[in-house]
Amino acid sequence: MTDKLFGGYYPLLKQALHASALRHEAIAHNIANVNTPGYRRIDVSFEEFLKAAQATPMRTTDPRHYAAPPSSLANPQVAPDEDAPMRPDGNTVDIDYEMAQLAENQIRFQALSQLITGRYQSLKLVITGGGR
Amino acid sequence: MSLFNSLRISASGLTAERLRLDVIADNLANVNTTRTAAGGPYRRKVAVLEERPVGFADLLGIQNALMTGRGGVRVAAIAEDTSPPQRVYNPGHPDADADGYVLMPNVNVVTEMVNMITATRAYEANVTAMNAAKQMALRTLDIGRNA
Amino acid sequence: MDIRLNTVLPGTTGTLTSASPSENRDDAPSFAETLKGAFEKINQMQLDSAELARQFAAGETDDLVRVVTAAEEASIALQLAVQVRNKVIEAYQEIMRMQV
Repeated sequence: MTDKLFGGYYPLLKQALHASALRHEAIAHNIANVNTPGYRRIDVSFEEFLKAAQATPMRTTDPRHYAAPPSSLANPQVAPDEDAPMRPDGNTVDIDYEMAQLAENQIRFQALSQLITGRYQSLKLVITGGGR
Repeated sequence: MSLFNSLRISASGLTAERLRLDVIADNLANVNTTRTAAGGPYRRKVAVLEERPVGFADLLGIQNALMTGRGGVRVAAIAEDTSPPQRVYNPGHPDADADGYVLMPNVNVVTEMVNMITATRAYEANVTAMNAAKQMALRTLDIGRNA
Repeated sequence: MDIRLNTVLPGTTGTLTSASPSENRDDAPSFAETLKGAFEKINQMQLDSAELARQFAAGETDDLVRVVTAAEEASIALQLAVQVRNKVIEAYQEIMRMQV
């Protein structure tokens, strides 16, 4: 019973929210180390895993089978960003790029939390039938 | 996954950049100092930054293990710049040697000003990051409240 | 379960077979078991959420997202359980009121 309550795309929303919080940690770390010689910026990869997972649909052995969307939950990973250009002191942090990432991630976090809140509100509405 | 850890990381950035600014201010104040307690002209100081290694014990919970070893920044040491002092021809100076040259501190005002600007910008960036973390954490609390 | 048609409709031939692919319907859970399983799961969600809250209060965890979402999920599940219980009681009372 409770699986249906919190199934569908809700686990994905939660994972994305976690990944967004983790990404903020990584960005904060990059910003703190903007002047550290030889520092390589780090990044969180999550959406790439999702895309890769969704590109492979579930196998169907019978024409009547419904190709359900794959369980595309991926764990976010923190890794150094290999493609970032380097400054003379070996540091790869571009402060303007980090600030843009910060803003984007903040908005994404807000959006995800609003979507989750919306799901909770819908569930409560359906369960209580509009009354309290 | 921890917004509280992000606050600590940004705080470490603020501390480190402020220390850098202190060192730069020290250098600028002593740009013309020819006499020091250790003898000779003032030697330029440099704040050496490094990644702050956060031990696993400091990170609460398994979910923070992904950021092990990445706890922001810290000043490893305040070292002395080993480049030689500048020899400036100034025969009237009380500390001039026999040839009329004075050993001046190896502080370049332009370099220090540029460093000051980057340190200030970095400081402001860390403030923004900290505010963002705080806003995100408060927004998380709203998930439960308005639903 | 197979029913021979000529026992139900005399003169006909053939059998009725149930549409269910599994012959044995006895191992399908009963309504009471389903309900009990669901309530146990909901209770477990309450316990997990309480444990996360305790960890957060004690400073053992920093993960605000997990604490908040677990608390909300447990609350919604509990509301569902309460509503289901109300409906079950209503249905029971309705049946008891029926004149047989």
